[in-house]
Amino acid sequence: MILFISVSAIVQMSLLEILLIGMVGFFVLSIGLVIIFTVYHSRLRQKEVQQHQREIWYQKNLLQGTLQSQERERRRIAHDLHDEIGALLTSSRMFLNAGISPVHTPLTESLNHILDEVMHHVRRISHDLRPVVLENLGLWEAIHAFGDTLALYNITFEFTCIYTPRMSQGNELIIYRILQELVNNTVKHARASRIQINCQLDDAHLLLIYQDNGVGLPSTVGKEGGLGMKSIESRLSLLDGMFEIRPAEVGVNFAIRIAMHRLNNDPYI
Amino acid sequence: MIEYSFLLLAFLVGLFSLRKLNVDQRQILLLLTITLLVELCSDWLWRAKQNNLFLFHFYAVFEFLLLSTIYRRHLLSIVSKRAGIGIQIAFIIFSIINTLFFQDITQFNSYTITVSSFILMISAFILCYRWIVNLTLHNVMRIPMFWINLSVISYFSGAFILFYFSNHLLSESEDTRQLLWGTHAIFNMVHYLLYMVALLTYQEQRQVKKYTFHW
Repeated sequence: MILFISVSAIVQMSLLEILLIGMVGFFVLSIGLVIIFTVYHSRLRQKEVQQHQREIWYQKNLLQGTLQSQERERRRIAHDLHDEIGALLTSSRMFLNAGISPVHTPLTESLNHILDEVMHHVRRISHDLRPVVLENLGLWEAIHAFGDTLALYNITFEFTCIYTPRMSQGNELIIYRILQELVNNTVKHARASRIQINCQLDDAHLLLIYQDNGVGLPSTVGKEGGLGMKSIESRLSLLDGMFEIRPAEVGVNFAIRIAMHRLNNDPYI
Repeated sequence: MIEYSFLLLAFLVGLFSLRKLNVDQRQILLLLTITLLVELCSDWLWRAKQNNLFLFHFYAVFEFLLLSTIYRRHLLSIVSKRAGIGIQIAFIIFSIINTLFFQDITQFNSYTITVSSFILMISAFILCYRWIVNLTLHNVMRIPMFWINLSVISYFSGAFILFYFSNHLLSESEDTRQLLWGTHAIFNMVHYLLYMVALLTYQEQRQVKKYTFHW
Protein backbone atom coordinates (compact mmCIF):
# COMPACT_ATOMS: atom_id res chain seq x y z
CA MET A 1 0.00 0.00 0.00
CA ILE A 2 2.80 2.39 0.99
CA LEU A 3 4.76 1.34 -2.07
CA PHE A 4 1.74 2.01 -4.33
CA ILE A 5 1.27 5.46 -2.80
CA SER A 6 4.99 6.19 -3.24
CA VAL A 7 4.99 5.13 -6.88
CA SER A 8 1.91 7.15 -7.71
CA ALA A 9 3.37 10.13 -5.82
CA ILE A 10 6.56 9.86 -7.86
CA VAL A 11 4.62 9.68 -11.14
CA GLN A 12 2.80 12.87 -10.28
CA MET A 13 5.99 14.72 -9.41
CA SER A 14 7.67 16.84 -12.04
CA LEU A 15 11.05 15.99 -13.49
CA LEU A 16 12.48 18.88 -11.52
CA GLU A 17 11.29 17.53 -8.19
CA ILE A 18 12.46 14.01 -8.98
CA LEU A 19 15.87 15.22 -10.02
CA LEU A 20 16.27 17.53 -7.03
CA ILE A 21 15.24 14.87 -4.55
CA GLY A 22 17.46 12.33 -6.29
CA MET A 23 20.49 14.60 -6.44
CA VAL A 24 20.23 15.88 -2.90
CA GLY A 25 19.24 12.47 -1.59
CA PHE A 26 22.22 10.72 -3.13
CA PHE A 27 24.53 13.53 -2.00
CA VAL A 28 23.35 13.35 1.60
CA LEU A 29 23.33 9.55 1.55
CA SER A 30 26.88 9.34 0.27
CA ILE A 31 28.18 11.90 2.80
CA GLY A 32 26.32 9.99 5.50
CA LEU A 33 27.89 6.70 4.41
CA VAL A 34 31.36 8.19 4.50
CA ILE A 35 30.74 9.61 7.99
CA ILE A 36 29.50 6.23 9.20
CA PHE A 37 32.54 4.60 7.63
CA THR A 38 34.93 7.04 9.31
CA VAL A 39 33.36 6.54 12.74
CA TYR A 40 33.29 2.75 12.30
CA HIS A 41 36.89 2.70 11.10
CA SER A 42 38.06 4.79 14.03
CA ARG A 43 36.28 2.49 16.52
CA LEU A 44 37.71 -0.62 14.90
CA ARG A 45 41.14 0.94 14.95
CA GLN A 46 40.74 1.87 18.64
CA LYS A 47 39.80 -1.71 19.46
CA GLU A 48 42.79 -2.96 17.55
CA VAL A 49 45.10 -0.58 19.40
CA GLN A 50 43.62 -1.67 22.75
CA GLN A 51 44.08 -5.32 21.80
CA HIS A 52 47.66 -4.62 20.77
CA GLN A 53 48.33 -2.82 24.07
CA ARG A 54 46.87 -5.77 25.99
CA GLU A 55 49.18 -8.12 24.10
CA ILE A 56 52.17 -5.93 24.85
CA TRP A 57 51.18 -5.80 28.54
CA TYR A 58 50.83 -9.56 28.63
CA GLN A 59 54.18 -10.08 26.94
CA LYS A 60 55.82 -7.65 29.33
CA ASN A 61 54.35 -9.51 32.28
CA LEU A 62 55.63 -12.76 30.85
CA LEU A 63 59.07 -11.25 30.36
CA GLN A 64 59.09 -9.84 33.88
CA GLY A 65 58.17 -13.23 35.27
CA THR A 66 60.88 -14.94 33.24
CA LEU A 67 63.55 -12.47 34.33
CA GLN A 68 62.47 -12.70 37.97
CA SER A 69 62.76 -16.50 37.82
CA GLN A 70 66.10 -16.16 36.14
CA GLU A 71 67.40 -13.85 38.90
CA ARG A 72 66.05 -16.18 41.62
CA GLU A 73 67.81 -19.10 40.02
CA ARG A 74 71.02 -17.14 39.68
CA ARG A 75 70.88 -16.21 43.36
CA ARG A 76 70.35 -19.83 44.30
CA ILE A 77 73.23 -21.04 42.14
CA ALA A 78 75.50 -18.24 43.41
CA HIS A 79 74.61 -19.17 46.98
CA ASP A 80 75.32 -22.85 46.34
CA LEU A 81 78.58 -22.05 44.57
CA HIS A 82 79.84 -19.70 47.24
CA ASP A 83 78.59 -21.34 50.40
CA GLU A 84 78.83 -24.99 49.45
CA ILE A 85 81.36 -25.50 46.70
CA GLY A 86 83.51 -22.61 47.83
CA ALA A 87 83.51 -23.99 51.36
CA LEU A 88 84.42 -27.49 50.11
CA LEU A 89 87.30 -26.09 48.09
CA THR A 90 88.56 -24.15 51.10
CA SER A 91 88.36 -27.29 53.22
CA SER A 92 90.17 -29.30 50.52
CA ARG A 93 92.98 -26.81 50.53
CA MET A 94 93.24 -26.85 54.30
CA PHE A 95 93.48 -30.66 54.32
CA LEU A 96 96.01 -30.59 51.51
CA ASN A 97 98.26 -28.16 53.42
CA ALA A 98 97.77 -29.98 56.75
CA GLY A 99 98.82 -32.82 54.64
CA ILE A 100 99.73 -36.27 54.06
CA SER A 101 102.87 -35.19 52.20
CA PRO A 102 105.47 -32.47 52.80
CA VAL A 103 103.98 -29.01 52.24
CA HIS A 104 106.14 -27.54 49.49
CA THR A 105 106.53 -30.35 46.96
CA PRO A 106 105.90 -29.48 43.33
CA LEU A 107 102.78 -31.62 43.41
CA THR A 108 101.27 -29.82 46.41
CA GLU A 109 102.24 -26.46 44.98
CA SER A 110 100.50 -27.33 41.67
CA LEU A 111 97.46 -28.57 43.56
CA ASN A 112 97.38 -25.38 45.64
CA HIS A 113 97.69 -23.31 42.53
CA ILE A 114 94.85 -25.21 40.83
CA LEU A 115 92.68 -24.91 43.92
CA ASP A 116 93.39 -21.17 44.07
CA GLU A 117 92.34 -20.81 40.47
CA VAL A 118 89.21 -22.88 40.96
CA MET A 119 88.25 -20.87 44.04
CA HIS A 120 88.91 -17.64 42.18
CA HIS A 121 86.68 -18.70 39.28
CA VAL A 122 83.98 -19.97 41.63
CA ARG A 123 84.05 -16.65 43.45
CA ARG A 124 83.94 -14.73 40.17
CA ILE A 125 81.07 -16.80 38.79
CA SER A 126 79.23 -16.47 42.07
CA HIS A 127 79.67 -12.68 42.06
CA ASP A 128 78.60 -12.45 38.45
CA LEU A 129 75.47 -14.42 39.21
CA ARG A 130 74.69 -12.51 42.36
CA PRO A 131 76.39 -9.12 42.49
CA VAL A 132 76.88 -8.56 46.20
CA VAL A 133 78.25 -5.04 45.68
CA LEU A 134 75.02 -4.13 43.90
CA GLU A 135 72.90 -5.51 46.72
CA ASN A 136 74.92 -3.93 49.50
CA LEU A 137 76.20 -0.65 48.07
CA GLY A 138 73.98 0.14 45.10
CA LEU A 139 74.27 0.48 41.32
CA TRP A 140 76.92 3.18 41.07
CA GLU A 141 79.37 1.36 43.34
CA ALA A 142 78.68 -1.87 41.45
CA ILE A 143 79.58 -0.14 38.18
CA HIS A 144 82.80 1.15 39.77
CA ALA A 145 83.53 -2.46 40.74
CA PHE A 146 83.67 -3.41 37.04
CA GLY A 147 87.08 -1.78 37.07
CA ASP A 148 88.50 -4.43 39.41
CA THR A 149 87.34 -7.25 37.14
CA LEU A 150 88.49 -5.50 33.95
CA ALA A 151 91.94 -4.91 35.42
CA LEU A 152 92.46 -8.70 35.28
CA TYR A 153 92.02 -8.44 31.51
CA ASN A 154 94.30 -5.38 31.23
CA ILE A 155 91.37 -3.19 30.28
CA THR A 156 91.29 0.36 31.62
CA PHE A 157 87.91 1.31 33.01
CA GLU A 158 86.64 4.86 33.42
CA PHE A 159 83.31 5.64 35.00
CA THR A 160 82.18 9.26 35.24
CA CYS A 161 78.89 10.04 36.82
CA ILE A 162 77.47 13.54 37.11
CA TYR A 163 74.08 12.32 38.19
CA THR A 164 73.39 9.34 40.44
CA PRO A 165 69.66 9.02 40.95
CA ARG A 166 68.24 6.65 43.48
CA MET A 167 66.05 3.90 42.16
CA SER A 168 64.52 0.62 43.20
CA GLN A 169 66.65 -2.50 43.51
CA GLY A 170 64.82 -4.09 40.61
CA ASN A 171 65.67 -1.21 38.29
CA GLU A 172 69.27 -1.12 39.50
CA LEU A 173 69.59 -4.81 38.72
CA ILE A 174 68.23 -4.32 35.20
CA ILE A 175 70.69 -1.51 34.42
CA TYR A 176 73.51 -3.48 36.02
CA ARG A 177 72.75 -6.56 33.90
CA ILE A 178 72.66 -4.44 30.73
CA LEU A 179 76.04 -2.88 31.47
CA GLN A 180 77.37 -6.29 32.53
CA GLU A 181 76.32 -7.70 29.17
CA LEU A 182 78.04 -4.86 27.32
CA VAL A 183 81.23 -5.30 29.37
CA ASN A 184 81.19 -9.07 28.77
CA ASN A 185 80.82 -8.49 25.03
CA THR A 186 83.76 -6.10 25.03
CA VAL A 187 85.94 -8.52 27.01
CA LYS A 188 85.03 -11.53 24.84
CA HIS A 189 84.95 -10.03 21.36
CA ALA A 190 86.19 -6.47 21.11
CA ARG A 191 89.91 -6.78 21.92
CA ALA A 192 89.63 -3.37 23.55
CA SER A 193 92.03 -1.78 25.98
CA ARG A 194 89.65 0.81 27.38
CA ILE A 195 86.01 1.01 28.43
CA GLN A 196 84.25 4.24 29.36
CA ILE A 197 80.86 4.59 30.96
CA ASN A 198 79.35 7.99 31.43
CA CYS A 199 76.15 8.76 33.30
CA GLN A 200 74.25 12.02 33.16
CA LEU A 201 70.82 13.57 33.30
CA ASP A 202 69.46 14.62 29.92
CA ASP A 203 66.04 16.22 29.61
CA ALA A 204 64.41 14.24 32.44
CA HIS A 205 66.08 11.06 31.21
CA LEU A 206 68.94 9.07 32.65
CA LEU A 207 71.55 8.87 29.89
CA LEU A 208 74.21 6.17 30.07
CA ILE A 209 76.90 6.22 27.41
CA TYR A 210 79.04 3.15 26.93
CA GLN A 211 82.19 3.30 24.78
CA ASP A 212 85.13 1.09 24.07
CA ASN A 213 88.09 1.27 21.70
CA GLY A 214 87.77 -2.24 20.32
CA VAL A 215 87.06 -3.66 16.88
CA GLY A 216 83.47 -2.39 16.77
CA LEU A 217 80.26 -4.22 16.00
CA PRO A 218 79.96 -6.99 13.42
CA SER A 219 77.81 -6.06 10.41
CA THR A 220 75.00 -8.47 11.30
CA VAL A 221 74.21 -6.97 14.68
CA GLY A 222 71.88 -4.27 13.43
CA LYS A 223 69.60 -6.61 11.52
CA GLU A 224 68.81 -9.33 14.01
CA GLY A 225 71.19 -8.86 16.88
CA GLY A 226 72.98 -11.53 18.81
CA LEU A 227 71.59 -13.12 21.95
CA GLY A 228 73.36 -10.46 24.01
CA MET A 229 71.60 -7.64 22.19
CA LYS A 230 68.29 -9.44 22.55
CA SER A 231 68.89 -9.76 26.27
CA ILE A 232 69.59 -6.03 26.49
CA GLU A 233 66.50 -5.32 24.42
CA SER A 234 64.32 -7.47 26.68
CA ARG A 235 65.56 -5.89 29.89
CA LEU A 236 65.32 -2.36 28.53
CA SER A 237 61.74 -2.96 27.45
CA LEU A 238 60.78 -3.35 31.11
CA LEU A 239 61.91 0.23 31.69
CA ASP A 240 60.49 1.58 28.39
CA GLY A 241 64.03 2.68 27.63
CA MET A 242 65.84 3.46 24.42
CA PHE A 243 69.05 1.85 23.20
CA GLU A 244 70.91 3.63 20.45
CA ILE A 245 73.96 2.48 18.55
CA ARG A 246 75.80 5.68 17.78
CA PRO A 247 78.46 6.10 15.10
CA ALA A 248 81.99 5.75 16.45
CA GLU A 249 85.33 6.17 14.75
CA VAL A 250 86.83 3.44 16.88
CA GLY A 251 85.08 0.69 18.79
CA VAL A 252 81.47 1.13 19.87
CA ASN A 253 79.37 3.91 21.28
CA PHE A 254 76.03 2.99 22.85
CA ALA A 255 73.54 5.29 24.46
CA ILE A 256 70.87 4.12 26.88
CA ARG A 257 68.10 6.55 27.75
CA ILE A 258 65.51 5.86 30.42
CA ALA A 259 62.87 8.28 31.57
CA MET A 260 63.37 9.24 35.20
CA HIS A 261 59.73 8.64 36.08
CA ARG A 262 60.11 5.02 34.96
CA LEU A 263 63.11 4.53 37.21
CA ASN A 264 61.08 5.60 40.19
CA ASN A 265 58.67 2.72 39.60
CA ASP A 266 59.37 -0.91 40.30
CA PRO A 267 59.92 -2.74 36.98
CA TYR A 268 58.08 -5.76 38.25
CA ILE A 269 54.77 -3.94 38.60
CA MET B 1 31.57 32.75 -10.11
CA ILE B 2 31.60 31.48 -6.53
CA GLU B 3 32.29 27.90 -7.61
CA TYR B 4 35.15 29.15 -9.81
CA SER B 5 36.66 30.91 -6.83
CA PHE B 6 36.62 27.58 -4.91
CA LEU B 7 38.35 25.97 -7.88
CA LEU B 8 40.92 28.75 -8.08
CA LEU B 9 41.51 28.59 -4.31
CA ALA B 10 42.08 24.83 -4.43
CA PHE B 11 44.44 25.27 -7.37
CA LEU B 12 46.45 27.97 -5.59
CA VAL B 13 46.67 25.93 -2.38
CA GLY B 14 48.02 23.01 -4.39
CA LEU B 15 50.49 25.21 -6.24
CA PHE B 16 51.92 26.70 -3.03
CA SER B 17 52.23 23.26 -1.41
CA LEU B 18 53.69 21.62 -4.51
CA ARG B 19 56.88 20.34 -2.85
CA LYS B 20 55.04 18.58 -0.03
CA LEU B 21 52.50 16.84 -2.26
CA ASN B 22 52.49 13.10 -2.78
CA VAL B 23 51.64 11.36 -6.08
CA ASP B 24 47.86 11.41 -5.53
CA GLN B 25 47.86 15.08 -4.59
CA ARG B 26 49.97 16.03 -7.59
CA GLN B 27 47.53 14.29 -9.90
CA ILE B 28 44.65 16.15 -8.27
CA LEU B 29 46.55 19.38 -8.77
CA LEU B 30 46.97 18.48 -12.45
CA LEU B 31 43.24 17.80 -12.65
CA LEU B 32 42.47 21.16 -11.07
CA THR B 33 44.84 22.87 -13.50
CA ILE B 34 43.11 21.32 -16.50
CA THR B 35 39.69 22.02 -14.98
CA LEU B 36 40.62 25.66 -14.53
CA LEU B 37 41.80 25.93 -18.14
CA VAL B 38 38.67 24.21 -19.45
CA GLU B 39 36.44 26.48 -17.35
CA LEU B 40 38.24 29.58 -18.63
CA CYS B 41 37.96 28.44 -22.24
CA SER B 42 34.35 27.45 -21.72
CA ASP B 43 33.54 30.82 -20.21
CA TRP B 44 35.34 32.67 -23.00
CA LEU B 45 33.44 30.73 -25.67
CA TRP B 46 30.13 31.32 -23.87
CA ARG B 47 30.78 35.05 -23.78
CA ALA B 48 31.64 34.89 -27.49
CA LYS B 49 28.31 33.10 -27.96
CA GLN B 50 30.07 30.02 -29.34
CA ASN B 51 29.26 26.40 -28.57
CA ASN B 52 31.55 25.25 -25.80
CA LEU B 53 30.21 21.74 -25.28
CA PHE B 54 33.01 20.11 -27.31
CA LEU B 55 35.40 20.94 -24.45
CA PHE B 56 33.57 18.55 -22.13
CA HIS B 57 33.98 15.67 -24.58
CA PHE B 58 37.73 15.89 -23.95
CA TYR B 59 37.51 16.98 -20.34
CA ALA B 60 35.29 14.04 -19.32
CA VAL B 61 37.83 11.55 -20.70
CA PHE B 62 40.77 13.35 -19.10
CA GLU B 63 39.04 13.60 -15.72
CA PHE B 64 38.12 9.91 -15.78
CA LEU B 65 41.62 8.82 -16.80
CA LEU B 66 43.27 10.86 -14.06
CA LEU B 67 40.93 9.80 -11.26
CA SER B 68 40.82 6.19 -12.39
CA THR B 69 44.64 6.11 -12.40
CA ILE B 70 44.61 7.22 -8.77
CA TYR B 71 42.06 4.53 -7.86
CA ARG B 72 43.87 1.92 -9.88
CA ARG B 73 46.95 2.50 -7.72
CA HIS B 74 45.00 2.15 -4.48
CA LEU B 75 42.91 -0.82 -5.58
CA LEU B 76 45.78 -2.87 -6.98
CA SER B 77 45.02 -5.69 -4.55
CA ILE B 78 41.45 -5.96 -5.88
CA VAL B 79 41.74 -4.94 -9.53
CA SER B 80 44.87 -5.92 -11.40
CA LYS B 81 46.84 -3.31 -13.32
CA ARG B 82 45.83 -4.89 -16.63
CA ALA B 83 42.14 -4.88 -15.74
CA GLY B 84 42.38 -1.24 -14.65
CA ILE B 85 44.07 -0.22 -17.90
CA GLY B 86 41.49 -2.28 -19.78
CA ILE B 87 38.65 -0.33 -18.14
CA GLN B 88 40.33 2.94 -19.04
CA ILE B 89 40.80 1.90 -22.68
CA ALA B 90 37.20 0.66 -22.84
CA PHE B 91 36.03 4.01 -21.52
CA ILE B 92 38.03 5.92 -24.14
CA ILE B 93 36.55 3.75 -26.91
CA PHE B 94 33.04 4.20 -25.47
CA SER B 95 33.58 7.95 -25.34
CA ILE B 96 34.73 8.06 -28.96
CA ILE B 97 31.77 5.93 -30.10
CA ASN B 98 29.39 8.15 -28.13
CA THR B 99 30.82 11.28 -29.74
CA LEU B 100 30.77 9.82 -33.25
CA PHE B 101 27.36 8.11 -33.20
CA PHE B 102 25.17 9.28 -30.31
CA GLN B 103 26.02 12.67 -28.89
CA ASP B 104 28.10 14.67 -31.31
CA ILE B 105 30.67 17.30 -30.46
CA THR B 106 28.08 20.07 -30.27
CA GLN B 107 25.96 18.23 -27.70
CA PHE B 108 26.52 17.70 -23.99
CA ASN B 109 28.09 14.22 -23.60
CA SER B 110 25.78 13.12 -20.80
CA TYR B 111 26.23 9.38 -21.42
CA THR B 112 30.02 9.56 -21.14
CA ILE B 113 29.92 11.64 -17.99
CA THR B 114 27.25 9.42 -16.42
CA VAL B 115 29.27 6.26 -17.06
CA SER B 116 32.42 8.00 -15.79
CA SER B 117 30.59 9.13 -12.62
CA PHE B 118 29.19 5.67 -11.99
CA ILE B 119 32.57 3.90 -12.35
CA LEU B 120 34.33 6.46 -10.15
CA MET B 121 31.66 6.21 -7.46
CA ILE B 122 31.91 2.42 -7.40
CA SER B 123 35.72 2.70 -7.14
CA ALA B 124 35.38 5.15 -4.27
CA PHE B 125 33.03 2.88 -2.31
CA ILE B 126 35.26 -0.13 -2.92
CA LEU B 127 38.21 1.83 -1.54
CA CYS B 128 36.21 2.72 1.59
CA TYR B 129 35.35 -0.95 2.05
CA ARG B 130 39.00 -1.92 1.61
CA TRP B 131 40.08 0.53 4.30
CA ILE B 132 37.59 -0.95 6.75
CA VAL B 133 38.60 -4.53 5.99
CA ASN B 134 42.35 -3.99 6.08
CA LEU B 135 42.58 -1.52 9.00
CA THR B 136 46.10 -0.60 7.96
CA LEU B 137 45.50 3.13 8.35
CA HIS B 138 46.09 4.73 11.73
CA ASN B 139 44.18 7.93 11.27
CA VAL B 140 42.23 7.91 8.06
CA MET B 141 41.54 11.64 8.15
CA ARG B 142 45.26 12.40 7.96
CA ILE B 143 45.46 10.69 4.57
CA PRO B 144 44.97 12.84 1.45
CA MET B 145 43.27 9.96 -0.37
CA PHE B 146 40.47 9.98 2.20
CA TRP B 147 39.54 13.54 1.23
CA ILE B 148 39.94 12.83 -2.49
CA ASN B 149 37.66 9.83 -2.06
CA LEU B 150 35.11 11.85 -0.12
CA SER B 151 35.18 14.51 -2.80
CA VAL B 152 34.54 11.96 -5.56
CA ILE B 153 31.74 10.24 -3.63
CA SER B 154 29.94 13.42 -2.64
CA TYR B 155 30.17 15.11 -6.04
CA PHE B 156 29.52 12.25 -8.43
CA SER B 157 26.74 10.68 -6.36
CA GLY B 158 24.68 13.86 -6.55
CA ALA B 159 25.68 14.94 -10.02
CA PHE B 160 25.43 11.72 -12.00
CA ILE B 161 21.60 11.81 -11.94
CA LEU B 162 21.71 15.34 -13.31
CA PHE B 163 24.22 14.35 -15.98
CA TYR B 164 22.01 11.50 -17.16
CA PHE B 165 18.91 13.68 -17.50
CA SER B 166 20.74 16.83 -18.61
CA ASN B 167 19.79 16.61 -22.27
CA HIS B 168 16.16 15.97 -21.31
CA LEU B 169 16.21 19.22 -19.35
CA LEU B 170 16.54 21.23 -22.53
CA SER B 171 12.75 21.07 -22.87
CA GLU B 172 12.26 22.36 -19.31
CA SER B 173 11.96 25.99 -18.35
CA GLU B 174 14.93 28.26 -17.78
CA ASP B 175 14.14 28.45 -14.03
CA THR B 176 14.11 24.67 -13.71
CA ARG B 177 17.46 24.31 -15.46
CA GLN B 178 18.97 27.10 -13.37
CA LEU B 179 17.76 25.49 -10.16
CA LEU B 180 19.21 22.12 -11.08
CA TRP B 181 22.52 23.42 -12.36
CA GLY B 182 22.64 25.75 -9.35
CA THR B 183 22.37 22.67 -7.12
CA HIS B 184 25.14 21.14 -9.18
CA ALA B 185 27.22 24.26 -8.54
CA ILE B 186 26.86 23.67 -4.79
CA PHE B 187 28.06 20.08 -5.24
CA ASN B 188 30.95 21.46 -7.27
CA MET B 189 31.92 23.88 -4.49
CA VAL B 190 31.93 21.03 -1.96
CA HIS B 191 33.94 19.01 -4.51
CA TYR B 192 36.68 21.65 -4.83
CA LEU B 193 36.63 22.38 -1.11
CA LEU B 194 37.36 18.72 -0.36
CA TYR B 195 40.12 18.69 -3.00
CA MET B 196 41.61 21.69 -1.22
CA VAL B 197 41.51 19.83 2.11
CA ALA B 198 43.19 16.87 0.36
CA LEU B 199 45.95 19.17 -0.87
CA LEU B 200 46.43 20.58 2.63
CA THR B 201 46.69 17.15 4.25
CA TYR B 202 50.19 15.84 4.63
CA GLN B 203 50.91 12.31 5.70
CA GLU B 204 53.38 12.03 8.59
CA GLN B 205 56.66 10.61 7.49
CA ARG B 206 57.62 8.06 10.07
CA GLN B 207 61.38 7.93 10.35
CA VAL B 208 62.62 4.71 11.78
CA LYS B 209 66.05 5.06 13.27
CA LYS B 210 68.19 2.16 12.32
CA TYR B 211 69.34 0.02 15.22
CA THR B 212 67.29 1.86 17.80
CA PHE B 213 65.08 -0.12 20.15
CA HIS B 214 62.40 2.04 21.68
CA TRP B 215 59.31 1.10 23.61
